[in-house]
Amino acid sequence: MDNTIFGRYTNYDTPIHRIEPRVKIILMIILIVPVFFKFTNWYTNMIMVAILLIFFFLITALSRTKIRTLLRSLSTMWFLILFLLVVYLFVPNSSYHIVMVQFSGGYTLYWDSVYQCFYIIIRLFLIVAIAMMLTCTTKNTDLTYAFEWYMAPLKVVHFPSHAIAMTLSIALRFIPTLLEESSRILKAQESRGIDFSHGGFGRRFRAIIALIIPLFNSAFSRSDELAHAMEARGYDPNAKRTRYRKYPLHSVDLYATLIILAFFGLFLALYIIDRNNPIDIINLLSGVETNSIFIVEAVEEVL
Amino acid sequence: MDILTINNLVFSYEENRPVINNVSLTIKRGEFVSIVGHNGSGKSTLAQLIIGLYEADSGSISLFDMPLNHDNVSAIRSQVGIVFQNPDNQFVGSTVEDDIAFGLENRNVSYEEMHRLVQDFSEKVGMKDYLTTEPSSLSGGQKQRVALAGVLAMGPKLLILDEATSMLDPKGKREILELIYKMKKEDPDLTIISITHDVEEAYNSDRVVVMDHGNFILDGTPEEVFSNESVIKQLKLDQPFIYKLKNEFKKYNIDLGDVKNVDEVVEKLCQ
Amino acid sequence: MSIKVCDLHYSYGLKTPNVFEALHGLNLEISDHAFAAIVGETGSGKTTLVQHFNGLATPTSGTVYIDDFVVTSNKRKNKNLMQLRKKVGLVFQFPEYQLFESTVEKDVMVGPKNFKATDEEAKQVAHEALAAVGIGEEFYQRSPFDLSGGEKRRVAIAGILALKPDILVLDEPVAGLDPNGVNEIMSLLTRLYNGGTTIILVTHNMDLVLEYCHDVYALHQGNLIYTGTPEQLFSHVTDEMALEIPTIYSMINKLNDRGFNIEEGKITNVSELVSQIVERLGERNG
Repeated sequence: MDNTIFGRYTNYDTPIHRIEPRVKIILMIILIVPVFFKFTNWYTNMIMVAILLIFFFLITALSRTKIRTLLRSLSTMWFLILFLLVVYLFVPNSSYHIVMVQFSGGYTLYWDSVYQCFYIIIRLFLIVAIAMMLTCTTKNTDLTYAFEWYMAPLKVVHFPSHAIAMTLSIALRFIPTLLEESSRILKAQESRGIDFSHGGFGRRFRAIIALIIPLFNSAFSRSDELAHAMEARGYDPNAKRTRYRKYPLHSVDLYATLIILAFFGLFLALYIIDRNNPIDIINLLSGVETNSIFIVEAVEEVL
Repeated sequence: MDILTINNLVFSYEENRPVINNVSLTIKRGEFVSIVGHNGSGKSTLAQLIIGLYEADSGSISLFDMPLNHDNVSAIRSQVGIVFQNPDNQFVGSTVEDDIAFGLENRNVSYEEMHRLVQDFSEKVGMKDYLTTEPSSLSGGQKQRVALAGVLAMGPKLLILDEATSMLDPKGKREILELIYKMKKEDPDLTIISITHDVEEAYNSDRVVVMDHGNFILDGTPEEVFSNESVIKQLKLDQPFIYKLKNEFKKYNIDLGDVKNVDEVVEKLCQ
Repeated sequence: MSIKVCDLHYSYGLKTPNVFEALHGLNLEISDHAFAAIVGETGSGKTTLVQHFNGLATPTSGTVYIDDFVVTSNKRKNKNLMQLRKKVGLVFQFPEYQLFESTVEKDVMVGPKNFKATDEEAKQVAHEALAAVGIGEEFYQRSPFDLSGGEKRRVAIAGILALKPDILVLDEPVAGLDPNGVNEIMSLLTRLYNGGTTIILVTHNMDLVLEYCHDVYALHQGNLIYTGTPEQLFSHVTDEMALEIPTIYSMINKLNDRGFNIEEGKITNVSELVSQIVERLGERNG
């Protein structure tokens, strides 16, 4: 019943939890942007990614979110990762040239492809994990409020931002209910000998139908009753409503914004420099005249 | 003041199969009325007609001396609170406090007032310690208490309970009923219509209306209604325990007289 | 068929931070051809327990024996689970939510067909099962979604009966039904019991337990706290058991507190109670 797709909200009182939801969404987006900055030099790039990871893990620690929870997000993406591995490791690409292993069958594994693959998985993880950090530290109500607020300007073009936010919040509210329901239906059907884990495609398809139809049926009757209950309590999607929750800004929002902007600014500046004049971080740090080719050759020799 | 007046009401979902079959009823302020009947007798449909979720085929309904129509429905609903049967399907908010506030938000209650009411009513129903709890961690009885707080916070003149306890376990059921009796005691002017098939619940109200196939069969005090044995038997309704007891004693020519509950019977037998 | 539960432990969410032990080492035996009730407050573990009876849940440790079938923590040993599910029918709470076929007849045939019955055989047992629950032929070709609540529930129960189980376990079979519906379901269960089926009820409804069941197992927070007859249970309920008792027994207990000496073990309905009271009154006065 653990909800791994969205990070489950953890009820702690940390600075990260306290950031105003609208601010948090923007900061999250700003934090995701540097993930897409690719530096020319491969080890510079790796070091920058490492810095990004470290910065992110600091935030994780501050919010008391478990890294294991975030890593679990990767397990839900296993199919995508497998696909990437196949594409990068087995599909030949003329730009690869640093050989890692030469197999007897004529297949060659290149360092380049391993590096590309690793880099993309790390980036994928960062994006998903940052988004999960948002859902782990922000209540559903607050999130939908922020979305509604950002969508408000669209009202001018008759975009139903309030209705969408309400739908979203009800959907989130009913996810646990429907999960529980589906597990009950699953067991009830298993009691009738419907087998969800064995058998060929046809059998499994029938099994899925036996789950889906009752689940939809119940979801529809629930939504009917819910609509009645909401109407009876005076809900009108087009009317003006007051809000139970207020979202004043606090100093924590200012500090968070400053920190994230400073971090982002640094990254952006380095990236712009790198575009014009590739940064070689090892040269910069050691002051010794080496170059990347030298290191690559050294690596090849060791192998 | 009449809280509710129903005149010659007819309603059907499908043509020529009326669910409500030409009924009339008047409920006065402060009455606690139970409407009992089997599933399909039309009692829940009646509740939905009263709050204007469906439109009657013919006849009229008025509440608080206002006819129920398109213009008035919103004004009327603001004074009627209804608690439905399924605890899950009326929990709108993502936490207890959000759910209690939902109706208040719809009524444009101010921020300060809203917070005061949420505090007050969550305390009244004994859910103050759960304000930030999500519905998935609540029992059915707790969810119903939240629903009750949500409708009572709006200060309704009329409270409708549409089988509000029928999906609860005995503990949840007892808690909800005790809460309702307490509310009624604190505010004698509150009018309550309880739709139920539990005769013990009905026995504890002021007035009982028996429904069958869209008609009102009996209407009177619990004593009048439940002593009409032939009709009760014919409709296959249960009798309250105290009536079963009285009838058994009659077979031995013992008259328990005017006893209301088990304690009084025990008291009488011990004399 | 009898059921024997030995030192049954069950935990939810194993290997997660939210691990929670729902059953703490239960031992119990339900004899062949019993009419038993498993009672306890919400969250006492009753539903979890009965899911072990047909292998829907497997123990964290301990063993459940159902005749020759064994359900243990070792999944490889739990062979023939499918056969077990044919022997032990489990009717879930609100079973109407399991209906999914286009007609009533087809829906009841799902079970038998999963157990390799031919269409003809499945149709025949489906008709028998529907007849047993009192659903007439005029319903066979109707969509199960068009039926009333009570009818849906009976069709859903027929879906399990069509497997011809020797043991029928029902979780809150009368929840949400009106008195009419309750009577229909309970007289169905009585007929099945008289026909040789073992009936196990999981319920909060103590009036039903008193009226119909011969043995009762009370759970409290994952422990078995009582085994015996309903009459004995209701005369010895303590507050810690967190059980509601039928009105009739709360009256007996009150009378006995006042020295009435009612023999509670013999009373299941009002007329039996009143006849005893009259007897006692007679003894007092004479």
